[in-house]
Amino acid sequence: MDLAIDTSEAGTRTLVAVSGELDVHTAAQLETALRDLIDAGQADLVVDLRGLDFLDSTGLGVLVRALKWSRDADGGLQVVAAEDKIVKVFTITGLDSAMSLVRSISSVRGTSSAGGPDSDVAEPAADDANGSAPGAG
Amino acid sequence: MPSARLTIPAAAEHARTARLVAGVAARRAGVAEEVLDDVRLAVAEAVASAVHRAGAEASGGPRPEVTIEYADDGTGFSVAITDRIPVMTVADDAAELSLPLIRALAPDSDSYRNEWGGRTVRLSWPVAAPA
Repeated sequence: MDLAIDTSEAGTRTLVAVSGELDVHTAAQLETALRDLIDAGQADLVVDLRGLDFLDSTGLGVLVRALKWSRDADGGLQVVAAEDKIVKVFTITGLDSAMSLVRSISSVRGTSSAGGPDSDVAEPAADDANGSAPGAG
Repeated sequence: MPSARLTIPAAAEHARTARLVAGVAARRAGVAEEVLDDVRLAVAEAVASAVHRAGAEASGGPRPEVTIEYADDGTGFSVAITDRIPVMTVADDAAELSLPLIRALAPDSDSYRNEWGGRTVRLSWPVAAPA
């Protein structure tokens, strides 16, 4: 199974919906996508992993590096994950709090790092684990 | 039940095969359904370590491989992941995340430098006793 990455704007934040399998083979694809977004000035990111069927430490490492890059760019990165086998990877490694992990997209709130108004991230229309990747990456 | 052995190139595109086979073998051995994800992830982590080291060690020599052996002795399901790829002396970011995951996912796990200078990771899970 490949990795699909779908990027959309959500207020002052950029929503990156990831589906498929994020592992040693596909992690570089997400890393490039997140790096490109941050370099383009979109450093306030929400990474939605609810479409993932598999996540390993290589994928987790990409998210850790992207978190650092986003903060270096005065932004931030938050992760949304709901399935137990995905959330477990964060809790075992202790990265759930560092990633501000939440279980639902409706829990993603707050101001952007630039101090803009509170904005809710809109719920995606439908889960599509097999969607194409028209966004960055 | 006899062991099964899978040898794959230590390359990222082949890592998925190892974890899928581990899941099938674990299910057939009687590992609880709710534990199969742990088996697949633990095996994936061990294989990924070999893949990362193979990438760091890239040379014009023979393509490095990793061998995964699956065994079921009736009371437990075990997996041994063995490679001959030099072990890094300095832990990288991937290893720092991978080892805690392996230890948390497998009730019994052991990782050591083997006789070929590579790494062997041994993992095991209990299986349900037959009714």
